Amino acid sequence: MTRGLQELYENWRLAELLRIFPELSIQPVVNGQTRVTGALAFSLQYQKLECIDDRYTISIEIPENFPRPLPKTRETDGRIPKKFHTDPDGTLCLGSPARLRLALGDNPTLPRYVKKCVLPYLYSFSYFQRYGVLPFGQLDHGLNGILQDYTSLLGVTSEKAAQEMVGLASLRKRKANKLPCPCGSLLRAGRCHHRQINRLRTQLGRPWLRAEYQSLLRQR
Amino acid sequence: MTTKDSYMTTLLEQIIDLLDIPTSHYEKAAERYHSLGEWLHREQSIIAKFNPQVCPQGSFRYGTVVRPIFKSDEYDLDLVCEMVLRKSAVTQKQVKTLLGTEIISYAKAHGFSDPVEEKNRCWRLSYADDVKFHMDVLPSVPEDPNFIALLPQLGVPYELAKLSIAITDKRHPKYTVIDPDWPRSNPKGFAGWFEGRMRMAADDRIRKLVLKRAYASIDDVPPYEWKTPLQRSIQILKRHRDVMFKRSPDLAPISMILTTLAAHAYEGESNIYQAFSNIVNKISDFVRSSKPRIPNPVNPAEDFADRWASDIRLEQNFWAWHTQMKADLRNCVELLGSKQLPDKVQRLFDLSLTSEQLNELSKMGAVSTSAAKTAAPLIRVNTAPKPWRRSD
Repeated sequence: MTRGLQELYENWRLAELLRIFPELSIQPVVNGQTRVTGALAFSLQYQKLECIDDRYTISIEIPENFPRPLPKTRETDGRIPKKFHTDPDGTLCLGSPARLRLALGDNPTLPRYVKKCVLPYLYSFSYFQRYGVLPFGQLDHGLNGILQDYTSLLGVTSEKAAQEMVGLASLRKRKANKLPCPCGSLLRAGRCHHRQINRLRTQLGRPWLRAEYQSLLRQR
Repeated sequence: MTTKDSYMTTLLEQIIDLLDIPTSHYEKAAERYHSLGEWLHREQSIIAKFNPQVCPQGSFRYGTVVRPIFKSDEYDLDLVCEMVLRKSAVTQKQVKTLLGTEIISYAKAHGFSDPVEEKNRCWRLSYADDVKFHMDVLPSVPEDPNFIALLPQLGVPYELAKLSIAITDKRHPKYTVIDPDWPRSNPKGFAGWFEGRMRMAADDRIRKLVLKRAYASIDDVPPYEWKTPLQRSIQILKRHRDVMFKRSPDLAPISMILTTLAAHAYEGESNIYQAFSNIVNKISDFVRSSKPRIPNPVNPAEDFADRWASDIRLEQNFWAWHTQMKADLRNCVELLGSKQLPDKVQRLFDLSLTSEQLNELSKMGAVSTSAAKTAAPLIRVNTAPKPWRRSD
């Protein structure tokens, strides 16, 4: 590695993250992973719901190949209970992998990760603590939750249809368009839900979708 | 100067006041190595005939010592003892042992309670009185003229190159045999280069000290008295590094790296804030992308970052530290005039501004940048991922 890590930090916009959230700081790199810890203070408004000001103490472990895989973010003050959408190792489950990847978009930087993935989760918990309701809902655990999210992303009502659309998105467009649309319309996909399927393919890529589809099939 | 610049200048000067060591510590160190030098030259000394010259190197030479983080820590006084011996006539081990014999007798004659310790390249004497030091004395001999002659071709001025020395290392494969291949160093040459980078900025102060008759001539004024913005900046960088790596000091960027890069980046600025912010922003430019990553300016074949290749975390931590240093400097500026500034200084440097210092800052007037940045940023979100969990 020559200038590799310096460029990596520049690509991640790590300096910008520290500028926006100055109570975060980089910890010494001990096991090869960059870790940022400290207080995340925010003032966030979701759609027309109330603006909530809050702060959490967190730790973010950023893998060298960010954004794949995504960082592991933990809340380190014990405020968020383990049973609230947290993995056994304490990592906050910010959303389904597909949704998080879409949130990062083509420009996966750390400020974007925090603003689009971490802060909404923390807002959601703050809101839940105040009002007992999750402002943007939640997903079931495991693959069920992933499938629920695809269903909502694709704008369909049937989870089976959503699953098969993930399958079509993992195929080349020309081939996928000729196959029957999974929504049950009896039309070819190319004349039915092709836009949603194409968008999914462009945004997430066929190899990744192939792996998702395989996981969903194994579960069923 | 803008209000922000004056404020930052004052703040940095205050920080330096808190982490600097008194001149008396430097004088004490000088007293100690002069005392050792006299011992080595006494009639009964087995090395007197080799004209041993003892000089400081490292932070005591450059005037960049900072107070230790932990009160129990000691100051490191690095010394080099050069003897007139040829590599063709002695082994590294013989040179090490010769000096060691006299260091041990010095310790015995002066009632040292801790035993002299042999390290890979030096002998360590620990002082346990009012100022806690240990003195690491590195034995050395002059380097070969034919090696020295190559250095000007690599861009090293001859006046600095000729000061090159050969040192000993217990781990060296040729440690016990007569061989020209010894580890190399040039502490005096490096000091000469370092002083050259800041000499002009020190002019005024040097002349004032001579006029005050604190020193007989300008050549007598030691670098620790110059107190240039370069030296001050290095002190601040070192302290920031010490605090960041408090729990993992072995991973921290070494002082030679910070000192060399800062000296490259320094362009003679006379104001501490200008010097410090330019240095912080530019030091990364002087890390090369291929080996030697950070060459010794007086021996380009030597790489101060040579350990980066064998432990990638060392380079990772350099960039991590630098990114954090830049962010922290920027955030300090944003917090000027705010109540959060003293806490920030405490967190970054493990230093508490005194009440006099706080009063001085509070008299400096309002700084417009501060208020806007102390509030958390307002973020509006229209779509959000739904919380999920991988498994039950």
